[in-house]
Amino acid sequence: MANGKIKADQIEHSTAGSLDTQYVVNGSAKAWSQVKQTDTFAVNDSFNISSGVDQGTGIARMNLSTSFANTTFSGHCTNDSSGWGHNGCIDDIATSRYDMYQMQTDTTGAADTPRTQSVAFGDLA
Amino acid sequence: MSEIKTDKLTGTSTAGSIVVTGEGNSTTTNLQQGLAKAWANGTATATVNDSFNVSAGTDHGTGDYTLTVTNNFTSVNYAMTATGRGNTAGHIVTRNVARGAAGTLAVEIETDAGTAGDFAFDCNVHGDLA
Repeated sequence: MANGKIKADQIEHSTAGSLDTQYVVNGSAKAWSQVKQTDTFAVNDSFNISSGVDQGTGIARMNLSTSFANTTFSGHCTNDSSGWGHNGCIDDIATSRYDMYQMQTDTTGAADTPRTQSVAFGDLA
Repeated sequence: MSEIKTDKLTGTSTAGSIVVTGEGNSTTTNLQQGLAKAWANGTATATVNDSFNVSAGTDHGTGDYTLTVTNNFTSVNYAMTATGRGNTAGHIVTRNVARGAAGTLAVEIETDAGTAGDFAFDCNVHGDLA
């Protein structure tokens, strides 16, 4: 590594307090994404996502660049307000991927939406 | 225990990119990309109880709130996840695509009957700062 490596257990700011660096490692999101499912499927922006795949109505698969150590990571999904009752869930979890699943509570059916978002926390492999 | 005291961390090869070794001691994750750039706990009238990088909340009507961001995002392509507070039916929290902007987080909350509802909420945002 050309630019070196710092090993430390704690980091301290002059006014904002100090933090054990384990919180930096464990507390950082390991993946996030914003996806457009309507019209042409697209991953608008992301972190640690190698590709997004349209798995059918309301389902966006997020393949991870770096996998999690296990499937017990904490995934969160929030939808947009393009229609009422849009509820986002995480589904079909593997260490290397997760699905963002969008449904409408009025019809209990899957729905494509223009801006669905996810974030995942956990241990990297 | 070793300790670093500093007010600012900056990458050497790329100022806005610092790599952190992951829990498995082999793979790495990006510090800047993994950090939440904003979070807030808001009341049912958009009063901000606690927050980071959020300066104010605005109540636009039932279940229709915005939060003003202090340091803007580069675009509207950030990922905002949110949860409603309470134990009654519904509390479906969505991102209001009509009101959202690079400097505005827009939260909309509905009941499961499809009507707007005033509920307290929590949200966090990951993305690129301007």
